[in-house]
Amino acid sequence: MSPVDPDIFRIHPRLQRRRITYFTLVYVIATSGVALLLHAFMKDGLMVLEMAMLPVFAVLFYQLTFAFVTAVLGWMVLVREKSDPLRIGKTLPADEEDSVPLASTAITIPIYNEDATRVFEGLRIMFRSLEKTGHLSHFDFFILSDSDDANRWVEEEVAWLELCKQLNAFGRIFYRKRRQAINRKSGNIGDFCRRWGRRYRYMIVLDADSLMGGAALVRMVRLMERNPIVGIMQTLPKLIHADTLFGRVFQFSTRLYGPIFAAGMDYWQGRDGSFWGHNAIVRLQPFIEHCGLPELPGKEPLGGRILSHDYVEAALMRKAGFQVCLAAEIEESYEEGPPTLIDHLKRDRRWCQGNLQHMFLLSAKGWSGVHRLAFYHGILNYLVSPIWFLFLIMGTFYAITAAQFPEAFRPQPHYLILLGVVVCFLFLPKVAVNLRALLDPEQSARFGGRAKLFVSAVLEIPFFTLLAPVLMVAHSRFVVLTVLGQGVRWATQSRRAVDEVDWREAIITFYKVSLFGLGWGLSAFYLNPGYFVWLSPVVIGLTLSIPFHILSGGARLGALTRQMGLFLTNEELNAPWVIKQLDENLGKAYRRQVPHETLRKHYGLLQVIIDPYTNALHVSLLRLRTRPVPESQEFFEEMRALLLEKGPDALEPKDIVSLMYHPESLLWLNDHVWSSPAAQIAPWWRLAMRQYNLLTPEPITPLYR
Amino acid sequence: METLTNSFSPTTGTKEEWNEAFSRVDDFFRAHRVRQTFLILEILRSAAEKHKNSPGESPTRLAVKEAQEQIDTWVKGIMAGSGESDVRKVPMGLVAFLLCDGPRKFPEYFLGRSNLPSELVDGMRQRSLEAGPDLEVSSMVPRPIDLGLLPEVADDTWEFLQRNPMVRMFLVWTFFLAIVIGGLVYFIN
Repeated sequence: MSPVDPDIFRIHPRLQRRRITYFTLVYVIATSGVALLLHAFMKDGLMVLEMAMLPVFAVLFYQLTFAFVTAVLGWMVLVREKSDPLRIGKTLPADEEDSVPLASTAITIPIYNEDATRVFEGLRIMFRSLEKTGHLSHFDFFILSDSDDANRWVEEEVAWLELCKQLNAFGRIFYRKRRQAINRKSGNIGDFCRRWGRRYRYMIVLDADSLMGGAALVRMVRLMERNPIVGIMQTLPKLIHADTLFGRVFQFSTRLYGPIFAAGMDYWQGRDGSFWGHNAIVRLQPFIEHCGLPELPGKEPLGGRILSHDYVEAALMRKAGFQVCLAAEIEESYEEGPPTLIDHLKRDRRWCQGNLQHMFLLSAKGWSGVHRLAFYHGILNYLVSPIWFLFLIMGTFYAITAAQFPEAFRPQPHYLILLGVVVCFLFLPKVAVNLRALLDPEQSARFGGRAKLFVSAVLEIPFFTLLAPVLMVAHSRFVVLTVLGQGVRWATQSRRAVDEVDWREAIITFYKVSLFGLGWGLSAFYLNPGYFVWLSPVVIGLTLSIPFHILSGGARLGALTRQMGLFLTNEELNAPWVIKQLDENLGKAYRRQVPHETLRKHYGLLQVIIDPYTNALHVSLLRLRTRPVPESQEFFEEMRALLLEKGPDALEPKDIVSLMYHPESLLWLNDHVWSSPAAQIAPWWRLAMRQYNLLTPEPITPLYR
Repeated sequence: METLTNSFSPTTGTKEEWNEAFSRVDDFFRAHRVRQTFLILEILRSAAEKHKNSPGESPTRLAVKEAQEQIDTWVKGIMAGSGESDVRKVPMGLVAFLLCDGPRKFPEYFLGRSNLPSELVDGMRQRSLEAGPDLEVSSMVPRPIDLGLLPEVADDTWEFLQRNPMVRMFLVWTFFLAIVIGGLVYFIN
């Protein structure tokens, strides 16, 4: 498939002007800042340390300027009465919307050991919301499971069956379980494309925690139909469902400041935009033809399979002649964020490795300049942490030297000017956004009113001040580990708060960071108390990382700030139907009866063996082998005898999963567990058979009923 | 523990054995979301008959086997006109019974031989478990990316370092010591 417009790569003159403006501003401001520091250093003659600090400062200042200019331009775009004429939404005015026909669309949700309740209840809401639009017939849903946890796997199957039954959605909601999770999420999506991609014109990719309204899904398809040269269209998902202080501050912050950064990026990126891998629509045919990902040279972590596949897919789509754009105006697009600092860091660890892999792609041929820059910035986002760290260490040496030789280090006004500029760059966009919101009653009402918005915006500053140095140290460590060859495991993301934060985990994770911060602070204080004052936000953040994680990661403080009306967002105050209904359903679903504690660990296996319907469902979904493989027969015979006599704790988790892939064994176990006299089976099974009946007659599903 | 009623008096096996068999079949039917005591007794009577011929066999095993056989026969009978393959008839039939709300709407017809309501029979036969639509296979192959010269050099170096951990360690320590020595020299001067 080729793009319709042969001049696809010709940049719109208006966009050209924007890019010139943008990069000129970044260049002029960044070089002025570096020149100012150079001038200050040269006043007393340039020392070796100063020469080393200058390029480090240049990188940091460039990054800061880049973000600042993006935010300022984004702010200007948003305050202008006239909306941006280059936005994709402009191509389809509301009054023309019904005239654009819809096309077959698959809504795909790749999952890996996720909370089935959240996944399937979210799906139910989207299904219902689409039904309300009257366009459900154009959409099919696919749950693409890579789960390797037996409990999660069975939960998914049972939830799928029950949801299809409740919604009468067989033939509309599909469930596919991959035996081998090759290439993780991108492989999962690729597998869907290979099996069913040709049946659909579009694919809307969602994450397990995504939620979208029916009207938004329909509009995405119509916008794609109206713009046949667009290959990928990304929406701007808003964070929802945060219940810890950590999650709520992030939710508030991204809701308040996120739109200016998105508008700023969109302003100069135009149709060379980014793809974040979810809450986006993809034109399937060119995606299948052009976006198959190769392996990078070398082995993981820096080589091998591409982890952060979305950026690369966007670049490949653009290379193939299709546009990639942001549709920030699509309102009902939501996702959930990590609830605690540790969960945030776990996600960053994966993203860090994924972005550093893009180093290989920087010099590859055929990318558009903007996508090449996106790769560069993705890498820099993580490299900037060790660079900042290095700069602070250099600054400490500089301060020590200055304390020893005060005559050689006369205070220069340039430093104060630069400090003022940095503070301005960090806070001016925030001040501008808050001023705009405070002056507009409608906007401030979306955050709980003027007073609450103001207090939340002020409190957010010390929160991120304490957080930033911890992220700096953590990211620096991630970069070093990745470069030294230590890769990451594919892990399930935690998305929900727990009542009590694990102190042990917090101490194990952060004690070195705390000790380092304490040591650094004390030495700075001893050697140059004046410098310690400047350094204090960094060392206090590091020293307090353990209590920071514990206090911010618990649900209690999150609930308290909610009660006080702090860090509120519009989605909390005026939740649209999709969120309200999802919350209501989840509330009911999570109140379901919990299995007996002894049985909980292997509840999936229990259901597959004990429950005749779950057994029948599971076996039906597996490929029924007509001829057993003789080599594996002995292994399965041994495993099931062990399982029957000793119970599931006698087996390794991988052996349980193997058994669950073997229909003959499952039928045999169902037969023998039920028919064996009590003395011949493990006590675990006897308890299971008695307890399971306490939970019936309703089938045990993770769903709201 | 529920005990057997007077209406069931097996001639072989102990009371405890038959109590256990009763309890197990009761659990077994309840796992099917069906609670029909007369069915349990019917199963136990058939099992007791079989036990006369094989007294060495456990009543629990015989009773549950009897229940399983009756369920299989019942499901196969209904699913005979469904078009499902033989090997899939029983599992698919059971799922179809659940999907028709059989345990809630038609518990009295469970294992029934005659006068089955057409809503149940047709409902079970027409239910199909469609986990995915028909395949329409596409070829999605990795697109080669011309990475240029730089990654090639980097890759060679990386592979060399991967093969030689001592060299890698030497470089890391050299880098670290260079920083430390650089700092010391700086302060001494």
